[in-house]
Amino acid sequence: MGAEAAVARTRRRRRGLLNKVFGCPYVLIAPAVILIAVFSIQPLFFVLQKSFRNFDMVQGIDRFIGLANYRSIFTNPLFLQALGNTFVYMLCTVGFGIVFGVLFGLFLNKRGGMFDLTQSVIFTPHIISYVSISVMWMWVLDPRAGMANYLLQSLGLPTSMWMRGEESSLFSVMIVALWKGLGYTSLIVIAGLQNIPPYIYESARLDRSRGFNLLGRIILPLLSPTLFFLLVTGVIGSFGTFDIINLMTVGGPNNSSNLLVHWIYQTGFQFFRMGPAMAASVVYLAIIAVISLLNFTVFGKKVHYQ
Amino acid sequence: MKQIDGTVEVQGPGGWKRTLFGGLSLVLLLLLILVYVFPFYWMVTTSVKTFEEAIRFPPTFIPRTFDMINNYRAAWTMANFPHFARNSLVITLITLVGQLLVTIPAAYAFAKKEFKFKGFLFGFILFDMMIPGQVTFIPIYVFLSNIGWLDTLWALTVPFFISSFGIFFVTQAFKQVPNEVIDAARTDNATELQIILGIMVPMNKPVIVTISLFTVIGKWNDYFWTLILTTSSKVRTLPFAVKSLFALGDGINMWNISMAGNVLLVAPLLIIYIFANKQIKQAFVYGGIK
Repeated sequence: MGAEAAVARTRRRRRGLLNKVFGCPYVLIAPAVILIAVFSIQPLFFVLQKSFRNFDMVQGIDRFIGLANYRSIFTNPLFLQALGNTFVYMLCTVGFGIVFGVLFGLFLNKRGGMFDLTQSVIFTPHIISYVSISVMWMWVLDPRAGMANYLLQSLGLPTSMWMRGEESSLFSVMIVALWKGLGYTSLIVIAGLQNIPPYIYESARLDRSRGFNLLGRIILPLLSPTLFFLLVTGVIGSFGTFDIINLMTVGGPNNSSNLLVHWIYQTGFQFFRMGPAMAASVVYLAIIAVISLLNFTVFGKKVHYQ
Repeated sequence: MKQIDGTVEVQGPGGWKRTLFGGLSLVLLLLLILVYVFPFYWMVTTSVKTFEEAIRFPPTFIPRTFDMINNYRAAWTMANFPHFARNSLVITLITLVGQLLVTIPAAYAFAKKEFKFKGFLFGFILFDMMIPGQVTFIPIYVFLSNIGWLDTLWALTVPFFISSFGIFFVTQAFKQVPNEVIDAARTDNATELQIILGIMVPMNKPVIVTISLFTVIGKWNDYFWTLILTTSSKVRTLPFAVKSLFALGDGINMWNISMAGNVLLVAPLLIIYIFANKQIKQAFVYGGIK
C-alpha cells in the first residue's frame, strides 16, 4: 500500500510540474517572443545601424560614416530608377488590380455553375509558385518563338521583345503579376459583396436605384472596407516584389525593370555593398511605415463600416 | 408581375434583353477562362512535343509529334527531381509542425491567460506583422552565416516557425471559446496540456487548417528565402529544380523539357486544388477579411 501511494504521489507531483510549465503564460509565449526578437527586432536594429556604417563582411570593415550611404543611393541613377519603377509598378498593379478585381467580382458574383467555375479557374495562379508562373509566361512571351508574338503577328500588329526589351520589360512583368493576382482580388471582392445584407439591395430596389446609381451610391461605399484592405495589402505587397523580377528579367535589360527590393538584393548580395543596401532598406521601411500610418489614421476614418 | 409595394416590373421587352445579356455573359466567361487556361494548355502541349516542333514558328496549337516520355524522363533526371522533392517535403513538414508548436501555445496564453505585460507583448506580435521579410533578409543572412546555418535545413525551417499573423489569427479564434468550458474541464482535473489539445485545438479546427494551408502553400512555393539562405542545391527545393532546367539569358532553351519539369512542379498543387478548391478559396477569404 505504502509503495503504491508513493508512486501515485510522484505521479501527481510530476503532473503538477508539467501542468505548471504549460500553465505559465510566459513559458507558452517564450518561443514566439524569442523568435521575433532574433529574426525581426535584432535584424531591424542591424539595418538601422549598418545604414550609417561602411560594412564589409569579407574584408572585415565596419566603421561609422554618417550619411554617406544615403548620399550614395540618392545620387545613384540606378537606385532612383528602381525606386521610380517601384512606384509605377505599385500604381499599375494595385490600380488595375482593384479596378479589374471589382469588375470581375461584380460580374462573377452570381449563382450558376459557369460563374463558380470561372472564379475557381482565375484563382488558380494565386496558389502556384512564381517560379512556375514565370517559366510558363516566359515561354508564352518568348520574343523568338512565343505564342504572344505569333498572335500579334497574325493580327497584323507589331511584335514585342517583351521582357527582353527595355521599354517593354516592366510592362511584361506587370501583366504577369496582374494575371496572377486577379483571381485573389476578385475572390475578396465577391466575399465583400456577399457580406452586404440582402435587405440593402431590397430597399435600393424599392427606391428604384439601379445601374451606376446603385453601384456608386450603395455598393461601392459598402464595399469600401474590402477595397481598403485590398489597397493596403496590395501596396505593401507590390513594394516587396522580388520573385517575379529575379526570375523573369533579373532587373534588366539595363535596369529597366529593376524594383526596390531586387536592387537591395543585387547591391548587397552580388556587389557586396552592404551599406547602400541597408540605407535603401531603411528607405523601403520608411515607405512601409508611412503606408501603415495612413492606414490607421487618414484613410481608416473615411472608410464606411456598417 | 405585381410587386409587394404595388410597382409593376416591366417584363415584356426584358425577354430578348435577358437572352442577349446571357449570351454576352457566356462569351465573357469563356474569354476569361481562355485567358487563364491557355498558358497552362500551352505549357502542357509544349511538354509533349519534340524539340523541333516546340520551337517551330509559327507554333502548332495541337501537337503533331510526340516525345512525351523522353521529355519527362529528361526533366526528372537532369534536374534530379527526387532530391529536390524530398527537400521540399521535409522542409514544408518541419516548418508546419514547428510553426504549430510555437503558434498554438502562444495563442492560448494571449487568449485565455492574464499576465503582466500581456498588452505590450501582444503589441510586439502586431508590430512584427508589419515588418516585411524583404527588409530583414540581409541581417538574417549575416546572422545565420555567423552561426554556421547557411545551406542547412535549420536555416530554411527554424526562422519560419514564427508566424505573427498565425498567432494573431489563432488568438482571435481562441478568444471565442467560452471560459465556462475551460473552467469545467479544470474542475474535472484536466491538465493545461489537455485543455490545449482536447478543447482549444478541436474547437478551432477550421482556423488551424487555414493557417496550416497558408504555411504549406507558402513554403512549397517559396523562392525568395531559399535563394537567400542556400548556396548549393543541397537543401534547395522543387522550384529550383525547374529553375535549373531553364537556361537564363539568350541561349536557346529546351522549352519542351523546361515545360515538362514545370508540369511536374505544378501538378501536385493543381490536383489538390481541383479536389479542394472550395476549402482553399474559403481559407483565403477567411485569412483576408478577418
